[in-house]
Amino acid sequence: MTAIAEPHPTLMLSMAAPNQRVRLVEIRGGRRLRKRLADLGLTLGTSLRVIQAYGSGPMIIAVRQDTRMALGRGIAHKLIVTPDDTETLLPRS
Amino acid sequence: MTVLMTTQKIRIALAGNPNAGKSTVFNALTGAHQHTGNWPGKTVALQTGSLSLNGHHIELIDLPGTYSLSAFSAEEIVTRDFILDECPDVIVAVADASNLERNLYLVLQLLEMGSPVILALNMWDIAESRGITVDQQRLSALLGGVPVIRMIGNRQVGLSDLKRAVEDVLHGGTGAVRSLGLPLDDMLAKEHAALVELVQNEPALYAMFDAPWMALKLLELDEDILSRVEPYPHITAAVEAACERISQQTGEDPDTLIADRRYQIIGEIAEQVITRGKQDAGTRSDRIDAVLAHPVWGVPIFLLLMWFVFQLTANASAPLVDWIDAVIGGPIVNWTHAAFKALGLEGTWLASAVIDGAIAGVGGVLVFIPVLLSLFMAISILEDSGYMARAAFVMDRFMQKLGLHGKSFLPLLVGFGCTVPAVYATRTLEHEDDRKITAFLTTFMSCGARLPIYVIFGTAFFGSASGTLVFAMYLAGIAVAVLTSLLLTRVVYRNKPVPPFVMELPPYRMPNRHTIAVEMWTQTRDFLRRAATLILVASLVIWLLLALPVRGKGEFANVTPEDSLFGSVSAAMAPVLAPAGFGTWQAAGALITGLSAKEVVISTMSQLYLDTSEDEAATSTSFADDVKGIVSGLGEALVLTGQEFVNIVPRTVNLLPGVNVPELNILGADADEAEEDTSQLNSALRSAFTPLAAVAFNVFVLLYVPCVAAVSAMRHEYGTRWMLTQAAYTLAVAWLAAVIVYQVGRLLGA
Repeated sequence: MTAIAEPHPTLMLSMAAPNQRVRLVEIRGGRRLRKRLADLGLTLGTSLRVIQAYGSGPMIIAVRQDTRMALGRGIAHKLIVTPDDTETLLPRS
Repeated sequence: MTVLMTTQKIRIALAGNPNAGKSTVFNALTGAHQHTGNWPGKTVALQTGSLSLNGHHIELIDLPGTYSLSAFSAEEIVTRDFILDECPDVIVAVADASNLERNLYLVLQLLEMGSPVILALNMWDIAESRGITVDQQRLSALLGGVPVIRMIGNRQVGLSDLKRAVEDVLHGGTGAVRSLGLPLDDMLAKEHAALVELVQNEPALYAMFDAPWMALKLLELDEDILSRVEPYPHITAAVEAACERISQQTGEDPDTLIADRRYQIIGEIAEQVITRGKQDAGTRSDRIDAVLAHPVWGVPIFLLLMWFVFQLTANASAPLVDWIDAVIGGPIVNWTHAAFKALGLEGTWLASAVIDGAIAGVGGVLVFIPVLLSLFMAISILEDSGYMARAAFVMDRFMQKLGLHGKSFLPLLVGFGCTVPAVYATRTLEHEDDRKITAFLTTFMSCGARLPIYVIFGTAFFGSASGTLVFAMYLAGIAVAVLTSLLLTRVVYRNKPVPPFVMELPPYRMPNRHTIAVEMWTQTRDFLRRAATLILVASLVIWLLLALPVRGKGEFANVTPEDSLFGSVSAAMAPVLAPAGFGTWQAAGALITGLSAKEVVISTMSQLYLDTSEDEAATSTSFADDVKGIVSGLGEALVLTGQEFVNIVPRTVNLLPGVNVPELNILGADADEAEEDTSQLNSALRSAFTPLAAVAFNVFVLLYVPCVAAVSAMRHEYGTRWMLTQAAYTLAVAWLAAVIVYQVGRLLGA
C-alpha cells in the first residue's frame, strides 16, 4: 500500500551506497521473512542508513538510528528502498 | 491479595532482546547462585538462579533472548510458553536504553499478554555516551504505569531500584499493571472485536488466556494459538475470513499490519520520551567495525583471535592439567594405598575398585577444570565485548557453504584442543539446530589426546616421516566433518528453512571482570555436576571388566587382562575389526579403554603387549613431603600457566615464515622431557600391526566414539538421544573408513 504513492525513485537496498539514508518501501518476500524482519525492527517506512557495503558481501545498516544490523546480500536484494531526504533523521527535540 | 501471602515460591523471569545485557542483570542479581537446567519437556536450557529479597526466597529465570513473542524459533516458543504456562509473578523486561525503539517491540508484546512487567532500561551509560536520554516517568505513564528503572547491569547500578520495584509489584503496589491491549485502528479493530466475542463465548478458551490477546494472536495467524482453537471450527473459519477481508482491503497481511501498528505506537512513544543530544553520526562501534568487520581485514583478525582462544584452551591450561594429574596419580593414590594398608585391606578388590576405578574416574573429571575455565573465559570475553557477532559476520559466507553458521567456527576450532569444551562452545550459537549439528561435528576435529597415538604409531612405522601420518589424520578428520555436515544439513535437516542472514551487531563494550568470573565459575561447575556421573560410572565399568575373571586361575580383582571379562569382550569384538586389518583382542581392548580417554589407548597397549602392569608399590614419601610437593607443584604450574600466556605472543609471531622469536622458559623445563622411552612398545606394535593396518587403526581412533567426557558433555547439552546418535554414527563411520583404508590399500598393494 505504501509503495504505490511514492514519488521518489526506488532501488534495491543492495544498490544503496555507504552512508546513504533510505526508507524501506517494499519487502519482496514471504510471510516468514517479513515477520523476521519486523521482529528486528524492519517494517515498511523504516528509515535505514547504509554503514558498510563492500562488493557482494553482507552489508551493515543502521535501523531506526540505533540498531546495527548485518544483512546478507540475498535479503538486501529483496528490500526495496527509496532515498530519504526528509528531515526525520535529525534530532527530535 | 498480594503475591507474597501465597505459600508458593516467588518466580521472576528475565526477558529481553539478545544483546540487551540480560545476563549481566541476571549475574548482578544472583551472583554465583545459579545453574542451567532444561525445563521439563523443553530442549532449550534455561538458566535459573536464586536471590533473597527481604527474607523471601525468589527464583529468577533467565529466559532466552528473543526479539519477539511469535512462535517462530525455539527460543521464542520457550519464552512464550514459560510466561503462559508458568505465570511468573513478575517479568523484568531488560531493554537496551541505547537502542530503545527496537527493544520496545518485545516489551509491548509482553504487556499485550497481560504480564506484570517491570522495564529495566539497561546500558544507560552507553545511551548517555551517545547523547541519548530517556524520560523515565513519561515512558512509564505511556506504557500504562509500568515501573521503569535505569540500570547499568555490568556495574551493578540500579540493582536496588529494581529490587524495590519488584517488591512493590509483589505487594500489589502501583506497578502491578495487567494487560495493556494493543490499540488497533479501524478495520483491524473491528475484526479483532468480532474475534474477541467469539473467543469469549467459549469458556474453555476464555479460561486459557486473555481473550483480546488470543484474538490478536489469531489475526497474526500464530500457529500455536491456531492449533489451540482447532476444536472450534467456526472460530478457525472466522479467522480465515477476517484475514481474507483485511488482506483484500489493505493489500497487506494482518500480521504485517499489526507489526506496523506496534512500531507506529513505539514511534509515537519514542518521540515523546527520547531526547538526542547530537546528530546520529558514526558511533565508536561503527569506526571499530570499519576494521573488524571489513571483508578483507576482518578475516585475518578473526583467525588471529581464534588462534589465541585455541592457545588458551590447549596450552595455557596444560600446566594445571598436568598438576592435577600428578597430584591424583601421586600423593592421592599413595595416601589411599596407605589408608587401605592401615585398615588391613591392602590388595583387596575394594582397594582396587577405589584406586583403579573411582580415583582414576575422579581424576578424569578434574583434569577438565583448567581447560573449561580457560575456554569459558575466552568465550565470555568474546561475547561480552560484542565481537562474537562480528566473527559470525566475517565467517558466515565461508561456513554457509558447509551448511553451517559463521559462529560454528569457534567450537570446531576448540575441538582441536579438546572435544569437551568444544561441545560447550556451541552454546554461543543462536539456534538449536545449528548448535546440535555443530556439536555433532566437534568430535571429528582431532583432539589433543589423540595426537600421542598418531605420534607413537607414526614413529614406530614411518620413522622420520611420522609427521605425514599425523597431518593426514587431521585432514581426514576435517574431511569427515565436512561430509557429515553436508549430510546433516542437506539430508537430515533439509526441511529446516535456511534462516535469512539478518543479525544484530551489538555495540562494542569493555568486557566486565565480574561477569567473566561468574560465567567461568558457573559454567565449569555445571560441567562437574552434570557430566561427572557418567565419567565415574564409565571408569568403574572398565575397572569391573578388568577385575572379573572368566577363565584361568585368577580371582576377582586379581587377574591378567587376557583372562578377565575385559579380555573376553575384546576377543569377541576382534573379528568385527578383522576387515580393517587389526582384528586382535589387544587392539580391540585398547579401543575399549580408549573410551574413557583417548590417550589411554597407548597405556593399555603397553600393558597388553608388554605386560608391564604398572608398579603400584607406593613410593614411601612422608606426608609432609607429599604436601610440600603438591604446593610447590601448584606454584610451578601457575608460573608455567603465566608463561604459556606470555608465550602465545612469540608462538603467534613465529607463524610468520622466517621468524623465530624465542619463547619464555622460566623454569628451564625441557619440552621433550615428557617423552618416555617407547622403543619396546614400537617393536611390539611393529610385530602386531602391518603398516597398512596401523594406518587403518589410527583412522579408527580418530573417528570412533569420543571419550566418555565428551559423550557426557553431549548428553548434558543435547540429551541422551543425540548423544547415542552421535555414538552410533561415529562408530559406523570409523569402522567403514578403517575398512576402506585397509581394503583399498591392500588392492593397491600397500
